Amino acid sequence: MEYGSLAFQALAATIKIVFMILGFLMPLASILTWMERRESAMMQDRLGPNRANIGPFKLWGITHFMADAVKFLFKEDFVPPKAHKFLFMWAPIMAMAPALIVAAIIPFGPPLCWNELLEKNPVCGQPINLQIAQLDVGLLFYFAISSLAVYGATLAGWASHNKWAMMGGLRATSQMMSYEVTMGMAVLGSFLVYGTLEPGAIVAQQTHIFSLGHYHSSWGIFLQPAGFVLFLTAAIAETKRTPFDIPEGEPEIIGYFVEYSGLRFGMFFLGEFLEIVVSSAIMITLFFGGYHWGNTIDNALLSHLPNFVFVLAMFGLWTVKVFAFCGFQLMIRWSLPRFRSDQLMRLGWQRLLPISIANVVATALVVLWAQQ
Amino acid sequence: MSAGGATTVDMVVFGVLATLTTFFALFTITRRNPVTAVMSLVATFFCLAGIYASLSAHFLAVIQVLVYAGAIMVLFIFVIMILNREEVAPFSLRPLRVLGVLAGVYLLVKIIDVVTVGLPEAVPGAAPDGFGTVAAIGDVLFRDFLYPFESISVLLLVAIVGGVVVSRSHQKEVAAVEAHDYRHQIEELAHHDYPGEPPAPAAPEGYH
Amino acid sequence: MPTTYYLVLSFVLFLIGTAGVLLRRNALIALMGIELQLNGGNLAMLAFSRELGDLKGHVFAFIIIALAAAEAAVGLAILVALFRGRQTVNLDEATLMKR
Repeated sequence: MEYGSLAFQALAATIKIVFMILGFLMPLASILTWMERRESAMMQDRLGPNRANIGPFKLWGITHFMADAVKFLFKEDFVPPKAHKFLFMWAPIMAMAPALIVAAIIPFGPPLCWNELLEKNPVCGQPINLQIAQLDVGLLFYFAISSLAVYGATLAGWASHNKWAMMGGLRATSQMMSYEVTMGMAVLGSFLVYGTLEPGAIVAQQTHIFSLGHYHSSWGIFLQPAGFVLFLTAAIAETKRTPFDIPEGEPEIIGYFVEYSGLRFGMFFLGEFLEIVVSSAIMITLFFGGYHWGNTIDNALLSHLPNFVFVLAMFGLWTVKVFAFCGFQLMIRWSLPRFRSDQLMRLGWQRLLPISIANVVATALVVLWAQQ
Repeated sequence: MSAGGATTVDMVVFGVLATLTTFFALFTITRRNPVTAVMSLVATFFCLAGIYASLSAHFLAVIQVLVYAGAIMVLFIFVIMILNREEVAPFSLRPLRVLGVLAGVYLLVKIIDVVTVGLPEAVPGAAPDGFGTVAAIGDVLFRDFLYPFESISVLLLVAIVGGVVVSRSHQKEVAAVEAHDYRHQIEELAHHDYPGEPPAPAAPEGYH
Repeated sequence: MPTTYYLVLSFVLFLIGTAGVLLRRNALIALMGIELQLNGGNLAMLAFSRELGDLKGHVFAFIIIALAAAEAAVGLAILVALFRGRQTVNLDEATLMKR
């Protein structure tokens, strides 16, 4: 099978999908379901789940996520009698699928040089990009698909045939719609600075961590600090995590998945953590250099390791970044009080949106000035 | 993507997407339940986005999903969830009507046959470089079509203001909410009939 | 694919949209029929743009999408106001301005 042929590309894409989604995303999201409870417990000075074990191996309770999955599988599958059966089934799918689809545009490593896998510092003649789909409209694809996640909450609320679930669904819909706008506007500044929508190209421009000489090659957070804060806030609001979790509201108010049990609820639950992982990955791509760790480290690794090992090492370092961001988002949960519905909407429309528009205007002015 | 002839892959992709689009569009207008109609319209838009992508209109395909399926349809669902309470059968399927529909479909097929007889069957050649990319469309949009772009922005602003004004609450309700007086709304909710549930019980006599 | 195929599909979509607007009494589904009509037009626009290699069709389609968004928003606002007055979205019952 030769390098550029259709079969080769199809096989490469399949391997990337299996590796990235089955091999990285799903296990990380599953472990996050346990890690959230453990990290919350540590922040609250208690122990958290640490007992599940396989034989003699406790592993600090990591196997809780497997126990959870088994528990969900064996629960009774209950559909409320007057619920709309098809949409009741479809809502969890709409909640989980967008997070998985969006993972297609995330670059998770430097290009693998096909012919020169064992060479150090190769001239890449036949690169295989570690990115499932290189779309020219890259990040617009992310916004388009993540705007479909709204249907998960909406349909769940409506199809349950439950007054309170529907009100929760309406809350969730209005919140997600509001923060989508801010999310898009926050990233417009990055588009202006990098001049491209394609995540691979954006990452390729962030080669230094911070350098005054090549300021443009610094990590994105030094070029767009306001954009990062706005995007972080909007992404947390989109995933309906605390402090924006009034739609779910756990102990206080009924949310949109009150009629869901067993694996259907498991899909909502897992979908939320998948969105955490994916939004962390997007933030890292835009603002924290993607798989780059600065000029020094990159060059050191590149010149001392064969290409294959280099790519694996960079992928490993990338997963460290993603993991750190996920941990950060989990930590926010117990650091901030929850927003009330009206406070949330006011924050989205009256505070964050004007700031993001001002960010775009300021960025445009700076870019124009810098081009002279 | 294909220069010259339509490959089998192209034909299969178009065939599948076109059939699905038509099917979902028909589904949309024949549903009794508005939410199901909205979801099948979302599916129609998805298939259309696929067709746009096969026409090398990548930017438009993503915009179709982002704006139409992701924003406009959410607005529809929102309004449906707030408003709609009744589900009336769309049309009754009397035998003469079914015959009429079949005759209409046959007429449509014949019309298409006749009208497309003289049209060229040639497949368009290879698209110019960068056709349908964001940069190319941005170039055309902001150079040749700057005035239409600005006027559509003004139109969106007018639509926002108009929407807010048209759907404004009555003064009474607004004043009550401002005064944190929710008695009117509680009463409305108590007497509200939800579909499929027995009607709200009348207050027993002598009840205050 | 020959442009004719896309034009036939756009025609069929437009017809289905028109049928929805004319035959359904539920105002929301009539609005969805209008969206189908606009999409039929968009498809024709993009098919010709591909055949002629000209990006003007894409810009047109983009502006049509923005216009459809504005129109859907205003249409739904009008519907909400109508509903508030008459408690129904049945177009057959909304034939007179005075109730």
